[in-house]
Amino acid sequence: MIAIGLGFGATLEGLRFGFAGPWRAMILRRDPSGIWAQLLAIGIVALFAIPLINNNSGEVNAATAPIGYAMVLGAFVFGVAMQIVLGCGSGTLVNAGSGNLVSLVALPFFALGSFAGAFHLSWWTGLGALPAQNLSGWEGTFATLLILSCVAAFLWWRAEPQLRRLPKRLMLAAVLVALLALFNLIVSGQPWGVVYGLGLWVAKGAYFSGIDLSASVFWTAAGSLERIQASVLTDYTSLTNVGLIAGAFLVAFWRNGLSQPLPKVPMSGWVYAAAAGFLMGYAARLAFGCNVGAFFSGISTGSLHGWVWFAFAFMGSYLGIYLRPRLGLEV
Amino acid sequence: MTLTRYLTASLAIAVVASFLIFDLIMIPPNPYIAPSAISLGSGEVAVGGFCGDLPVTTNK
Repeated sequence: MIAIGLGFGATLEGLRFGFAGPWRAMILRRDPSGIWAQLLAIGIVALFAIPLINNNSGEVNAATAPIGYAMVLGAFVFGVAMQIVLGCGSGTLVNAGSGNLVSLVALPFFALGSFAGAFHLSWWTGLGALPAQNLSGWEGTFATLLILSCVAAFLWWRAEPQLRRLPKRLMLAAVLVALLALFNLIVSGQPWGVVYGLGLWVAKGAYFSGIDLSASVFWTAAGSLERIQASVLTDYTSLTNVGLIAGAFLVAFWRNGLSQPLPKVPMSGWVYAAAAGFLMGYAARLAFGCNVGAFFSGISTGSLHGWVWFAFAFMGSYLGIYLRPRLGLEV
Repeated sequence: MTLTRYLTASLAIAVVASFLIFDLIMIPPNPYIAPSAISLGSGEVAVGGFCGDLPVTTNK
């Protein structure tokens, strides 16, 4: 799993495949190439993952989650925050590994937010949610690919005419990310995720510091306690997270990208980066995942909550893009 | 002196490595209770933690 994580980190950093940046590029410049690459990767995974899950239920699972008020709010807030720090769930790890100071500041707060969001999750889900719905079987695969194609066509219609192309670099990155995501599913039995592992790291720290977790339904659930008390080397999401950071570090080191000077950001900017990092983690738990666990893995394994997440996080991105320069984070 | 990304990237790696070492000291891994190397085809139910997990089962 660490090798798969290294692959994710190297691909995302080396081929500049991301989530927050391409959404920003579409909103500001009407450049759809990055989102097309995301949709291509999701489509490749869906083509194999949805039938695989259908035929091997239990051994491999979908990123299923219910659509509810908290989920929708979480996706919107995540979209805002990820544009403020200009790094999504995977992007914050990759950027921190390649020496981005804003992401490095945001990362521990992202983890804290993930822990806190899970701590309060039962209260939020109690606000109301629909039963989890999945597109399954060949019909589900076809429906997912059809919707992905419709979104791609919509972006083509909205794009600047001279920007209607998918560079080979992004095409290669999409294929590699899709293959790694499929390996992740086959090896671990669960789709690629990020935010759960970060919250678990804080929960472990809290547990071993003697902090009382008994007020949290989530962190006192049998499965959660078992994972807190087990070695982190047995948690799949943690392993790929470690690999993501290390893979990005190795690529940045290899291409001499670490010699760039650090930016000068005003003190208020650091406070906003920390706050946005915390919100991102908290919101991702309410939304049952970040851009990876909900958007990428949700859609590619047939969960309808992935589509709802996409819509609301994209709306939130508009607000985040508006706020970022006003918070002193554009230097 | 100009600070570069070497400092911040090294710091990120150092923090993660420290956490892993702390965890290894607190909970030494037991290879005899490890899950199957590959879940698909193992016959085992995948039970890893995931972002979509719901707090349904408690032992409070």
